[in-house]
Amino acid sequence: MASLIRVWRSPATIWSFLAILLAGIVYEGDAIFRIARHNGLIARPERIKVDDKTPPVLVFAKAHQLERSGEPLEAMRLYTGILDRGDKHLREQVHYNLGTLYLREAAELWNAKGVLEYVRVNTLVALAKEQLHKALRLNPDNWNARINLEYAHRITPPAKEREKADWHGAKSSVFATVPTIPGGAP
Amino acid sequence: MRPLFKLIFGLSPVLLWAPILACAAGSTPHVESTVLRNFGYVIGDLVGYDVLVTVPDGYALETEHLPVPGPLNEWLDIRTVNWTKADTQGGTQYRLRLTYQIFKGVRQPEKLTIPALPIRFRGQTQMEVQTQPWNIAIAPIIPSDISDENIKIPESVGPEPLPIGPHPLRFTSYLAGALAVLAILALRYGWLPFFAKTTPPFARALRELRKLNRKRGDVEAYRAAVRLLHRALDDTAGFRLFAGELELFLAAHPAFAELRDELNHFFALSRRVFYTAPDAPIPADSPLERLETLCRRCIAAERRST
Repeated sequence: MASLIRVWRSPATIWSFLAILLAGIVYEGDAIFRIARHNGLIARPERIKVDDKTPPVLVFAKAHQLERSGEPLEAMRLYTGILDRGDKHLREQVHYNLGTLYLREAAELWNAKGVLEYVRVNTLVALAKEQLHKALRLNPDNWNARINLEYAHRITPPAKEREKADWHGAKSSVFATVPTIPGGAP
Repeated sequence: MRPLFKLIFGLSPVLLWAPILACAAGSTPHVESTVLRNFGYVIGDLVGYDVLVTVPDGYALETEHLPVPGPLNEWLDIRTVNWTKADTQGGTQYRLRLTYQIFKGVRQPEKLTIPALPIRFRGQTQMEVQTQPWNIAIAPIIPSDISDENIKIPESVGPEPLPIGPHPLRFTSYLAGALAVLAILALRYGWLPFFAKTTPPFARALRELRKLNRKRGDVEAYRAAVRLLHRALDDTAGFRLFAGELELFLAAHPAFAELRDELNHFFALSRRVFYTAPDAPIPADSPLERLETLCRRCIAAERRST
């Protein structure tokens, strides 16, 4: 006990303790500063410059702003870049937004042109389903993802039937139809 | 006699096979399944399924052959597979808890069949049981009478501000701790005038003694050190303390009682340095270090008494 008291009263202990506390102040202060800065950028996403080091939450904010301002392709590119980054909640949001973006594109095409845009609609719906599946796997309580996924199933074009061959040649081989060199040619 | 013989002869295959059949009945696993409900599901729902399998002693579940969480088919995922084991009189009971997730989108209520799953057990021989395939009813979320064109797709979600979390609290705690430690250090080293006044006398004296320690061989410095200790004793006593009043001082400040001999020696030394032999060199038996040690012990007594 006496040795403990001696250690407690020694200048080295108290200076070390002060150093630890100062390190804690620096660490926590930096964390508060970073969060405040990020929140400022989230509120004004047009000021975000995206590069490789941009935190995924800011990339997400930028992608959402682009989506809202009518640049879905750029938004898709940014969302795709952060699919597996960030925490579970952010990943769920990214999958949901990307799925919804694909679905909206598919729905516009489907409602405007129907089966005439079969291939594009089918591809977009498949992508939307994949992303919405992932969002629901991360959070089964995401009801918007459920609605969108059900809608994606509703507008999934029916499987396209293979076109039948309409060749009705009577000859047994195509080679027999190839014209030969006419007689008397030079 | 003949009918009896016929009866025994007729029953003999049964009698011969009875023990074998009994053994076979004992080694048959018993499968029981429980579902919470099999209706009222919609897309995205989790469906729980409990299977209770009782196997004879000596059989163990082959966990490596249990279904792995992941997609089972295009509209059904296995989310979790958990199992527990319990020994019973009739054998060993394995309780499997499977959770599925449905991804089937429908326009009208439909019946879906959750497929059977094989469960393997290892023992004298390998044994496989199948869970029962079971049906659930799934309903659409979007009303079926709304046309595709009139369905409004829910909006994408916007970014949420990052939660500040426990950082402000931690920051405040660290700051308060650092301020407290700085206050203690200021008190200890007398950095601030306010604290200097409140610094206990022997703590103040020690600080001055450390400065005098640089002039270790100097007689004047030595005398100054003795004076410093006198002043600290006077401040502690509240009056000018002489050798004759030491007992009075010790009675008033019992924390210093263990220093009685050292203090008597100090007063004798003081007498020698200032009166008996003022021109004599620093006494060899009481160097400056000894005064510093006495001062430290007085600080300890000072702390005990407060």
